Amino acid sequence: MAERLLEVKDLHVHFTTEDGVVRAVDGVSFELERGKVLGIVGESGSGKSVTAMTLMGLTRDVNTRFQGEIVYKGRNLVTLPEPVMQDFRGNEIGMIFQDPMTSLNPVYRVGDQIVEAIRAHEEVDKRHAKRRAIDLLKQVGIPNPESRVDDYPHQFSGGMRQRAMIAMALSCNPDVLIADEPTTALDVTIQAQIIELIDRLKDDFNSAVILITHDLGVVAEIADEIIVMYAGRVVERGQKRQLFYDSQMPYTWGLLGSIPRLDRPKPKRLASITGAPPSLINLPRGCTFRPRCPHAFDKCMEEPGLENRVEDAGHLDRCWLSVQEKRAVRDRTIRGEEEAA
Amino acid sequence: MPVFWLGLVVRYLLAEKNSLFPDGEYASLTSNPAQWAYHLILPWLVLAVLFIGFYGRVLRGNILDTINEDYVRTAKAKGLAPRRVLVKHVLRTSLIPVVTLFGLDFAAVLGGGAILTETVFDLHGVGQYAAQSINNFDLPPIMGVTMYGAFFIVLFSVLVDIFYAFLDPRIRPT
Amino acid sequence: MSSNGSTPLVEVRNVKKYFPVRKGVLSREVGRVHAVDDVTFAVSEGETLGLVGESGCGKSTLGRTIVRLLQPSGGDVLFEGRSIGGLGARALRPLRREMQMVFQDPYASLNPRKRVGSIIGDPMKIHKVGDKRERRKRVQELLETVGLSPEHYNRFPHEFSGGQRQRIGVARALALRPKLVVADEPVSALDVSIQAQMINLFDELQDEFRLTYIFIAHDLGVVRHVSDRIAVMYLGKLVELSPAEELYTRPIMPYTEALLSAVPIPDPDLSEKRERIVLEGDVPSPIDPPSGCRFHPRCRYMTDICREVEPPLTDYGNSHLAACHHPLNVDKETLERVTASPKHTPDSADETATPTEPAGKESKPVPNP
Repeated sequence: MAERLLEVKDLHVHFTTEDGVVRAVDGVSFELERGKVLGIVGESGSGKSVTAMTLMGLTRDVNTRFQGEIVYKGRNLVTLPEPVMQDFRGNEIGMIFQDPMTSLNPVYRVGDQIVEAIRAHEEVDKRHAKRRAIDLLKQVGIPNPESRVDDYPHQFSGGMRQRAMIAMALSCNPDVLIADEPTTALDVTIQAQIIELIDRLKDDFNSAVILITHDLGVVAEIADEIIVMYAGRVVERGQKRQLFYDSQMPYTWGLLGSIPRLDRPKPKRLASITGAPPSLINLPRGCTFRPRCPHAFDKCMEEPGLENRVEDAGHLDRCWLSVQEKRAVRDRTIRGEEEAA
Repeated sequence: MPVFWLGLVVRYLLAEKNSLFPDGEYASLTSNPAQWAYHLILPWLVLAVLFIGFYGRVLRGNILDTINEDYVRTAKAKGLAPRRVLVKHVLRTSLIPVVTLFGLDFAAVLGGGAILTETVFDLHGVGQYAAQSINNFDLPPIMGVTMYGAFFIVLFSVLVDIFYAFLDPRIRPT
Repeated sequence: MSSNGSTPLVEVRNVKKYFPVRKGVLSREVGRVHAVDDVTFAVSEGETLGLVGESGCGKSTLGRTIVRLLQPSGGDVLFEGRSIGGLGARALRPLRREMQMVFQDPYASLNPRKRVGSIIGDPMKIHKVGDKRERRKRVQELLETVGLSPEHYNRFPHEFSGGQRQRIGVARALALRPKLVVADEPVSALDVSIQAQMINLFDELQDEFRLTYIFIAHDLGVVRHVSDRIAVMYLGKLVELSPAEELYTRPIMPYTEALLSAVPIPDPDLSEKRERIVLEGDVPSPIDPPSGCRFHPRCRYMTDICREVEPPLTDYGNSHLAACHHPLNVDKETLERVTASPKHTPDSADETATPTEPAGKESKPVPNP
């Protein structure tokens, strides 16, 4: 049984704004084990990024209310004092972001930024830190690391920049790497490289990865377990194969259907989910997906809990339909033959 | 804070009434640097106050923009102490546009823009000289001062451009 | 497909677009970005041409050159048989009603200080179409057509989501009833489920308004759904031009193979079984492109000739053209019969250098059901 590194228990993150309370994360739970990749899939407004930022303690603010726990190596990150949280950031948990161009400071050399990350947590002199930075750049596959270490971010291409960011995030050997949409801003051939890199480094550094994305294709490749988020909640959770081959949540079917599949004949019309994600200030009553669900029925006015309704243990969902009903309509829904009124 | 008001008030309170600072005199730089500085502290402060409001606003605006940039988020995610994030990442980038403004303002002041300060503190500077020449319709000094001012503005513009490239590596020729 | 004898709606002939790189105190031109480097193709009325490639391949630049937001540095663009490459602003103005563009970033392409009604209605005002009342009516119709409510007439862009803003952009493009719509990555910035809605919208509008599309995208999945034919670009060159389905079942140029192979498939078992071709290195700079075949430094099948000679666009039948010395999915006998297409082949390429040595393998980077 792999070591459990992180356990998120019923996390809530609410932002108080002028328009009301934004329930960005509304009861999310999951676990992360060493050596595994957890994929968090969702669209904008699903709360996936806020969850990730909260793991790093980057959402702490006067207007933010937290509930629940994030247990990392026995300590609750939600209530951890800020100076200790600072220690953890970069050191125990590293994070890389979506756009590597804007995520690196343009006026400092790449090497210096990596050195800064190292020296923030370890007592190393500049020369040694720079040596390590060069080694890291080599590990992430940047050619000529000795000369590239002194370059500025704008002198790197998109893929190289993302590799440099990964090097920086892993510089202090964190046990958890959070990658927030790491490939969305990159070309598709470079995406493939970066995903492969993340997979390899996870083993090299013996850490765990949380991969946040809206792209189910990416997650199909390297994730072990996947959670699907919608309107701040987890609506489905399961092992990779369970999710792709026996999904129990209509929202997931909608996502699966919306992706144009190269390996299947072209449908007449792309399956899409009608409507748009709900406002996080005024969530719909009952199941949050109900207004957009082609299979909503009266029970859906009552909010479903996240439970294991299917035979496979560990596969949870938030849908009142019976397992037989789901299996009956699922394929048609994915093909786009059923859409909400 | 208009210089003629603040300058007069300051001069009256601190120099005339209390003789805390010398009044109406001038010690040249070459003869006695300490005295030179001492004599000029008041005019310096008054002139500075004139610009502080403007620069403060510009800098604040820049900082508010920079703080939301992605690289600041990365800096925090690395676990850097907040002070370091503020100084090394936010301030450094926010100051860049301020540098340009400062360079040009400095040139303008050198070229005779401090005329009001000079008048209030009775210092015989370029500004006063220019004012007098205009009063007397004395053309050559006017031309001289204009050229002098123009020279400094151009010089400082170039210096600022060069300095800017030093501050922002994206602008350097590759 | 282009019927014999009738003029295509848009024709791109040996179009080049270079951007000078200036250095030094006197801004001397020290190099050029060869954004688009001798591209030729034609698009028939009612057709959708998908234009794909990665960053730096020149597809966006080409799109803008076609609608004359940019002027070609060389070659020509023809619209309805008429040359428009060298026309001045005045002569172009009436043409602008016929060609419109939809942009990628729904957050940046709408003027935040204008109301939606104005954003969509202004093109009509500028071209003096209808009076105020007629314009208003038209704008409201357009809003409905793109799936928004006519009551949104007086709102500002920031009150809408990304997908809705993109619909506003489409409505604006359609205001003047153009014949050609160039869509530059219109769905890349949108969530997956909204992307699907937008793609369906584009499909419906094409039938309703009899539109011709040039659909620029980097996502091969999206492009497949909307396109009749697909053009693949790499570093300013056209490297493959094929009927849509055939590109996926029978890619000829190794770059296309790599591109297809890189597209993730949301199916874990298939994903695992697939042979993934992960290209080494980065896309080189368009300022100093590699010699010969521009893809050679990253190509698995590269040989000496690839470094030296730029391959011509060879016709493999069924309107499928590809520029490669070692084509995939082709056997040696076929190679003996193919010829280069003089119309499409760039001047810098050697027309006589049709491939003789196939890569010798059948490649299906996309697993078939």
